[in-house]
Amino acid sequence: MTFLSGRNLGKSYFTSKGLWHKEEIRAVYDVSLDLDLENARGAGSRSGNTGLVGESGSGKSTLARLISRLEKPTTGSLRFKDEAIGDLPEKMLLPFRRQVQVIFQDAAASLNPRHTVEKILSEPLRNFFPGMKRKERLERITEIMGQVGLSPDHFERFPHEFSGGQKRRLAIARAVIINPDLLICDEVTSGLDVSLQGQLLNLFLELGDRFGVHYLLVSHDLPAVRYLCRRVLVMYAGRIVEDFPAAEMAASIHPYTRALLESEPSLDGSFSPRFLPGEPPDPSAYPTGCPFHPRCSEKKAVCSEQAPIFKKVADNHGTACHLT
Amino acid sequence: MKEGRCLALIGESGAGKSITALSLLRIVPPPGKITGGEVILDNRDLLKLGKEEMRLVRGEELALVFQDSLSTFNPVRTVGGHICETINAHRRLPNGQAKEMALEKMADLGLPAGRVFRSFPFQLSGGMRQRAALAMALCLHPRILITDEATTSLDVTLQAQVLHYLKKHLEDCCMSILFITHDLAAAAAVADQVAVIYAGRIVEKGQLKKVFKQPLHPYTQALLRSHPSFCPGTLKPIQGSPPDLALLPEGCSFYPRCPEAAGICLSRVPEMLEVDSGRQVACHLVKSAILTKGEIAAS
Repeated sequence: MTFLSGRNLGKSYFTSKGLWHKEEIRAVYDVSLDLDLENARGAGSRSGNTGLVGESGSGKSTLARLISRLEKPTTGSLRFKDEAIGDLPEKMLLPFRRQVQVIFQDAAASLNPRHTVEKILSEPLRNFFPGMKRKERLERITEIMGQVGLSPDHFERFPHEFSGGQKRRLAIARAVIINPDLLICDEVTSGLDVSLQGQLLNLFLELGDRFGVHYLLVSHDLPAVRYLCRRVLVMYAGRIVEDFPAAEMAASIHPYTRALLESEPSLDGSFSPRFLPGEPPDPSAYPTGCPFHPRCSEKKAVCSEQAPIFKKVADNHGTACHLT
Repeated sequence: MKEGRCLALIGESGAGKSITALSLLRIVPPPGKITGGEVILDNRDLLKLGKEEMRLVRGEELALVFQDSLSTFNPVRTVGGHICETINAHRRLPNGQAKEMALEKMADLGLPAGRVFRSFPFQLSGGMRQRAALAMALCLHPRILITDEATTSLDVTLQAQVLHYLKKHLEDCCMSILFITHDLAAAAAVADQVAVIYAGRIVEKGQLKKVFKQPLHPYTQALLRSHPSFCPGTLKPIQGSPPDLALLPEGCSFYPRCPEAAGICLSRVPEMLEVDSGRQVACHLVKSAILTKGEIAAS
């Protein structure tokens, strides 16, 4: 039984261009993925953590919103423990929401400025455990605040009384307080100082060990993904182009993944001026064939005519590229 | 800063990186004020220049690129208009020559010059806009370019692009760059010198390779231990957060977070100490370590 699996997921947005003409923006299309958490149990602290990387505009966040069912997929099916949830109304999603939680990049904006910490943290408990007594709730809140590194005396405070790092911790506390199995983190470490980033990454690991939370880290920060995750999914132009183990970054096949890895500044100062030419494609008009071919240095004739199919090249390694 | 070199200024947010950049250009927003010190460029103290003289220095000799390229540009004017305005504010050029200069600079930075020149800022992608901002800063061939977190909000691939062009310019034009960032990896990619700033003071300075390989100040050490690329195995990030600048602790401002803080750190502010040629550290512990080493050598 796969924890969460998507088949041929797609999400399109429509914008009107003029009175009669509508333009389709395909943010995500034809994405199939499995997040298997059962096999990951007991196989080390980082296993089961998946990183989702790609440039901005590649559809990472849309995919995260699809599999957390914040958006309904336009095409394809989404199954949670063998139950189709792609079309379920919000009320029926309660068991799913209890196990899959999301944290957003802008933690400050996701906290209600008029609610105290107690209210913010007790809301998920009230939602998912209606039978819980106030005293039990308070105990749980005190416990979780200690675990994410907030002082439990700050019960009565409002979000604006915390620093940026503390607000993120608060958002994390709110997500893990109901003990979910999967936590989807959308760019949670971007735009933070190194010291804060390190603190958060370690907190994620610690919570993973203690509560068995697994992460889907949506990020463009490769070092962070490498640190936290065992599996990496690479997205380009709304599709997953490569799926490979994080420990074997060097074994990546897809030219885009390799370009992404080469773009990362090297630490010894010998920065090679190899970077990807051109711009990411326009999601309303993807190039024909492989969407990466205009920027690819190894393209062949077939690349501009036919879209490559996602193939497995090894047990835990798959890619969508004609060159394999 | 030396000619043709790149100095990286790294530190956490709130450490005073951006204010340093703004002070060099004398554009600190009120109620901020430059209360002391001097900014020497070619034996001239920029703080003593008149308003008009300073205006000529900005853009012509010192240029600044900000993090947010969208608010750098006026949304109702074209990118080309901005660049020509910068050129015309400094030089009296015959018709069309400013445009030529702008196009040339944009092509240098790998932009499709003709299209970008006519575009409005919002029509460009983030990476192109940042390069257009760079073109605006570089169009008068400034002596020193200051980039304030210019690559921070960009994707890895776009960041690599911008870093590549910065590095190319550094080599071709004999210009100096002050590269302000909190991204240690980006700093390592372009800079050859580094200064680490904490709570408004520079605590360590020296050749980048040496500093990153063997950091002396406990803060630099902790900073490097917080980054997954520099620290194999489990991260050991700095605990706590940067101090409130209004309530700086007495003594060394890092001691509340310092794992090795000793008695003297609480009471006296450490002064800059030259450890090696060009390598400076402001830390009591490093100083006492060197002194004991010297005593052993003497005896």
